[in-house]
Amino acid sequence: MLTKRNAIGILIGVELVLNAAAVNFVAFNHYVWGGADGHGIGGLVFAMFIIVLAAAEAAIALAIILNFYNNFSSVDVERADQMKG
Amino acid sequence: MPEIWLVLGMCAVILVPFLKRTSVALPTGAALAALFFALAATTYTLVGDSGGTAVLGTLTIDPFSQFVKLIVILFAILVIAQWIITTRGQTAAGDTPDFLCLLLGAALGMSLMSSASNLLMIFVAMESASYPSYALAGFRKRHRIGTEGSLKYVVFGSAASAIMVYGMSLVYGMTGTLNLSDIASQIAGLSHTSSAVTGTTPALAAIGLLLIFAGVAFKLSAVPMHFWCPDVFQGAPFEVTTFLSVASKGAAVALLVRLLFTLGAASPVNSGLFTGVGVGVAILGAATATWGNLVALHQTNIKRLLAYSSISHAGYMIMACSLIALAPNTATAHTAITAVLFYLVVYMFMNLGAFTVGAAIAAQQNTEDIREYAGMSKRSPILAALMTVFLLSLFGMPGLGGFMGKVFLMQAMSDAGPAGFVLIAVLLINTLLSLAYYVKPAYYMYFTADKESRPTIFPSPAALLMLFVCAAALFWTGLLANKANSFAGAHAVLMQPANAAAAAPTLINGLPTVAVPIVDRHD
Repeated sequence: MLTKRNAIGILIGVELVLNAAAVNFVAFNHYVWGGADGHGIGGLVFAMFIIVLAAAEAAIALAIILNFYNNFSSVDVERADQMKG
Repeated sequence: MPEIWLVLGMCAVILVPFLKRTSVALPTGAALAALFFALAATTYTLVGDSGGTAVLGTLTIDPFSQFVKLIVILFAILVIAQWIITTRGQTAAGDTPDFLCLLLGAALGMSLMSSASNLLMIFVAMESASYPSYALAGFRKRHRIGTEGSLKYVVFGSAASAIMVYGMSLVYGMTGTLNLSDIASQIAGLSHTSSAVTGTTPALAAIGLLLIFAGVAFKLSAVPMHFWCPDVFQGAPFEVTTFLSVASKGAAVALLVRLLFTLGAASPVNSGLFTGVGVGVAILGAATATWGNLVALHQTNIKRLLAYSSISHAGYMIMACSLIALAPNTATAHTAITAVLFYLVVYMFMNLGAFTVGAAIAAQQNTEDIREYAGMSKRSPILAALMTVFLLSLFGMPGLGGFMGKVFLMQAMSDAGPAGFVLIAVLLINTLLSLAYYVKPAYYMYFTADKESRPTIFPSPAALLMLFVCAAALFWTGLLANKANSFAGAHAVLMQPANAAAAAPTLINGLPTVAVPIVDRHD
């Protein structure tokens, strides 16, 4: 996520972090806070929302990256250097 | 629930092109109608006070959240008006419904941010405020700068939100709940005893909280995460820049207030952990204000200048928010929230005014460079005078709203002991620093001769009316500040979070049992 120069690569990194969070939620829910002792499925619900919002985010990000490619003929984020200061 | 009207408005605006293609009046009318209904719904719930929860307890409806929603929705209306008056000509008729739908969607997310009191709802609200903003920032598809700005926004923004969600997963793992007030009481307990049963540790919960604050700091453009702000503001069309500068930051400030208030409400008096949070937020605010002002000094683009100015104004508000954590559950916290709300109202009018003048000049003279404002006092004296009023209010000239906003911030800080005096000193030094760049456009307008005989700017009557309304609002809040401040004070009331686990035993993981389907477990 932090070392990539390719915009698609950065997007993949972001999705990985989101999935890590989703796995965390499911794991914490299953092994720590789930079960019969009165907790529930908050973590699972959160994981579902992460999946849905990650899809929406990918759609927006890909549209913007495509538009960037149309203007700059590249998806290298180092090319985004028109504005400085 | 004004949000319902915003959702209906989004649907209506999307469906309009099926009735009449390339109509501008129809979608604009639908969007404005939806916003006015939402505004009416907000003021209606303002009267019926008390406070309560909605959507399975994930939203807290209290006077504070309603006041912020009032600001966000009113500002969305004003931004659409600004767009009609100044830059509508640059938007293709076929793009109008898309633009309005995105604007309504962003306003919806920002309204939700002001009342979210559950990690899940905070996540959903922040994302539904962010995604339309990304698209709006790159709305001019053939504009290289705009495209670059939106790419930077989406890259930084998605990274920040991913980090925030990871922090939420850690907090959930350590506390077992998504409800903010339960998290607060759990963490207050964690700092005393580390639970050996579940292996939870205060350190992981603290890291999780830090990551959540990092996500909020991105929306606030607080200093280590402010890089997107000037680039996005410069690249986006004027109306989008105006909207993001006030509504997006206002909603993020509201979220910060709610986080700190809810965390503080559960903390024992003088608890070390929450004092640490308060000091951290105070340092964040001071760094943001100072850095924003220092970098603004050498800006020549009006949008970039106002972007850095908005970073420093966010810094002032963050500094006031830190008082909520430094002195939880006290009159000081209430004064600080009142001051932040008052500041938001004033900030809304002065930013709207300054950006509208910038947009009017950009529309007719085709420049965003303040050096091109030379001789404006001769060419367009009214516009130059109004711009000077807005800039002086942003600086904090006595008699204008910006001054009273800073006075109330300092008043709240002065109640907070030695830490407050450090904050006041930082605020005063920053105010002096900011004078150096706020007078720059005024200097070019009044004291530089126009050598290239640039065109006279004739703002439309509607634009002038809007600018006069903004200026009048600034004079009103500046001269009769107590009235506006007591109005803000009446709404600076957050619902004292009832401990959800104690109050309603049906709440499970912060979500009630009605939402729980049957889960087949195999362990």
